[in-house]
Amino acid sequence: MENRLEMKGITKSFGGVHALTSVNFSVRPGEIHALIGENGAGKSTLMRILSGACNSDCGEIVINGRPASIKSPMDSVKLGVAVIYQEYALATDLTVAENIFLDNITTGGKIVNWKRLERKAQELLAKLNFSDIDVNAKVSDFSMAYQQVVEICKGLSKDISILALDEPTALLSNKEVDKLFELLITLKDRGVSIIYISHRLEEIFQISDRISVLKDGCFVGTVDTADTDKQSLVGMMVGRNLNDYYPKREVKIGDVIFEVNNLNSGKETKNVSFNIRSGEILGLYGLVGSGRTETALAIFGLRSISSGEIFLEGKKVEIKNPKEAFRHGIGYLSEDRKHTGLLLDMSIKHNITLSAIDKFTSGLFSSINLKEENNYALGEVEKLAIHTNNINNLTSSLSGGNQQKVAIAKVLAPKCKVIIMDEPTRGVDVGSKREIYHIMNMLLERGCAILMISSEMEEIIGMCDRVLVMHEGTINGELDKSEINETRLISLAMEVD
Amino acid sequence: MKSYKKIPKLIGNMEMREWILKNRVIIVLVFLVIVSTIMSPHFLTITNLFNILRQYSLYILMAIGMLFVLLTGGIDLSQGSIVGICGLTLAITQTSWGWGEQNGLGLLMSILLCVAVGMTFGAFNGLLIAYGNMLPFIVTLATSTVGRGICYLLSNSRPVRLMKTNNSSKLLMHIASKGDPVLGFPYGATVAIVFVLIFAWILKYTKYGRMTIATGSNSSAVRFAGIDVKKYTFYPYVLSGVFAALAGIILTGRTANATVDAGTGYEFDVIAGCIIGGASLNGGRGSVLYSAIGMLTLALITNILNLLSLGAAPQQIIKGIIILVAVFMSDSLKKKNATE
Ligand SMILES: Nc1ncnc2c1ncn2[C@@H]1O[C@H](COP(=O)(O)OP(=O)(O)OP(=O)(O)O)[C@@H](O)[C@H]1O
Ligand SMILES: [Mg+2]
Repeated sequence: MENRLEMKGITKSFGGVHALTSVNFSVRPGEIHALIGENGAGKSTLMRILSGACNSDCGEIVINGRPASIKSPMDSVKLGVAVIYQEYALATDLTVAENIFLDNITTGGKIVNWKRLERKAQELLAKLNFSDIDVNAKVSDFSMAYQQVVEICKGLSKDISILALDEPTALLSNKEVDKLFELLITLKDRGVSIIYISHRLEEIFQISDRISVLKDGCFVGTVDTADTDKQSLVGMMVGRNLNDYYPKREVKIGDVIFEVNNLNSGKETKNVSFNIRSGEILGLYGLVGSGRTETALAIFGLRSISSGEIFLEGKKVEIKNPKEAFRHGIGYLSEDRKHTGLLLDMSIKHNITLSAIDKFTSGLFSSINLKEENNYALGEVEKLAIHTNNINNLTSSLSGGNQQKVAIAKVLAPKCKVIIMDEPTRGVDVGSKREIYHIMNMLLERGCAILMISSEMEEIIGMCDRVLVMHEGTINGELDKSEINETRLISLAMEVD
Repeated sequence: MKSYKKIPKLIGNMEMREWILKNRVIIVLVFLVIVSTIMSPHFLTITNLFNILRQYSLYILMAIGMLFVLLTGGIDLSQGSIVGICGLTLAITQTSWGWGEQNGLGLLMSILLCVAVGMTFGAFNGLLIAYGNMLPFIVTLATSTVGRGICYLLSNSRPVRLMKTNNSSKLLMHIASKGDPVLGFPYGATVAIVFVLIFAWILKYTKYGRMTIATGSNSSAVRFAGIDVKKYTFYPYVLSGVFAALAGIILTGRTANATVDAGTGYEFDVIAGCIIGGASLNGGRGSVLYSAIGMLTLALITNILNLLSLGAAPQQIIKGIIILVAVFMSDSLKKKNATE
């Protein structure tokens, strides 16, 4: 038996959209097999078919040499398959421990033994070196990155022989990624087959043994990681070569337009001060839990501020809620698409124009000019290369990366002066990333200022004019463009500097 | 860029399914009309049809208000009590207070007072729910109970009759139970149709409508988008109260009588009508027109069961089953759509 898993001739279409066309994909025991491809290539769909969350139109799945009939997630669990989805499937009102053992809440017994449940959950988290997560806290109290860790633990709570992770690191910073990789290597050494989906090619080279590429729903090929390089992978994925991933910008940096003074909010934001000039990208780097997102939320009026001042173009402003933030011209792109970023069961068009609906309304009854709205949305879809055939489709029908682009279009619509972008390229493929960077540069040319929170070091290095590094709620250091490099970022983030 | 390419529409299966899914309410209505016509010769007569409209136009008005509440993900269980209170308010002001003797002006005053009462109730619900962060189910259940209590106080548990000798009461009774002189199309139904059209337009073409749907779809995301979610959660309850008040006025006018328990349980029929019309209890999904049609569907079912002279008990059972089927149909169709 050479292959642990074989997926043969898998075909799947959604209405008129061919998500997968006759895909052949196989994974050996004890290997880490990377699956890559552009946004909408069909990676997540292939994994959903493997887990039984959706059924293929035709095709065959063979596990350990035997044909497997996977009709529902229950079937795949029985076969030892665990899939960790791109869009988390956590019950946010339950505790961490309950979530980890959601399918096996009795942990082997007849009734729920809460003590044992807690202990086992703690053990799993300890294995991942995340003992600091309180297993009795509600999942909704945690940041997205911690939720990702819980999601991974959930996958590991069972006996598994095949583990698929759909963009597990999109919100994790180096330290957490390293922890995850250690764990994956341990699993691999135990013979577990791991399917690893990511848009971060550096990680792919670091962790994988083989790489398979999908393009527009078709299987392009499988290569040994040792025999390939970034250029040729991108070539396979995109069909053309990309050279400069971070487009140059020639923007004159102007005066300070946004300033935060001694901001305090809970444990996560302590004495934070910084300023941003027009035409500048200020990066905010830090490990998971360092308070980056919380600080952004405090500025945006979503967390109460205990002390501190915010100045916009020299004038002091009070921001008590997002509505006021937008009125002052401050926009925020949320890292949590599913819960706070998008209205998944509304159309793509309605999402894009949500924050800027006033631009399309007129008259006593604020009636919407549907035609103008439609044209605007079409323009954005074109500009951001959102992969869809109808802007009236539900946003949930888009692939993860394309949903992210809708979220970006939404935050751009009100034409804010200061834009806070929390993980702007989360789940976006290399080609589209470049488009997004390009759009960010255009914003800067218009005189905007951007505060970019990112866990991806490459992106921080490639895009930022200055970087603030946070550690446990305080700003641990500031680096100028010339000083930004990996070692400096890491040491400041871990506070060994 | 290749991203926005038009993929030609598939004909056949796919399109057919979508079409059925979209128009299932109308299909069911047409089916019912055909079946009813076959089952009873009295069904497809002008008298009968106008009768249905006369009786159910007030439910359609209530359904508009309820739909807006459902769209935000809420529910309004106090509609029935508001119908009762407003009915009594109208009857008492017309009789004991003597407003009924003052021609049209007296009627107008009564109506405005009723609307104000409905609005106050709705605003109270809305305040507690939107600004007090309380659960819609609990809040409106409580106000419903309070409202019914007020009915007892207002009426001393005795019905209040409108008097034919009062000019303004007579005018109301005429409007509520008669139709236009040419065709006899009920005035009540005309009122309902006008409101359905206005609010269908509001839902589709105004910022208010769009934000109401968005709030029900994902309120946190709407808040993050810089929109005043509380405001859009508040208003539908006011609207619901006002429509319940209008329903109370029409009901009293039609029966020339206001009783303590008038309107009891109406809210459940109204919710059922909205759901048959495709509205979702989770919010974010529903249409004014389809809710009205859903309400009519329920009316037709009741009517044909009456024409077949089935007793109250089997009628209740059949109605319950039909509601279940409606929910099941829309759910399973939706789920199919979501996973495929
Ligand atoms: N429920 C659905 N309804 C309609 N189309 C869908 C649905 N789910 C996925 N698709 C379409 O199938 C295609 C493949 O989507 P998939 O999510 O598998 O992409 P992906 O490779 O995971 O992309 P990403 O890198 O952006 O996550 C896309 O064109 C997407 O729009
Ligand atoms: Mg995906």
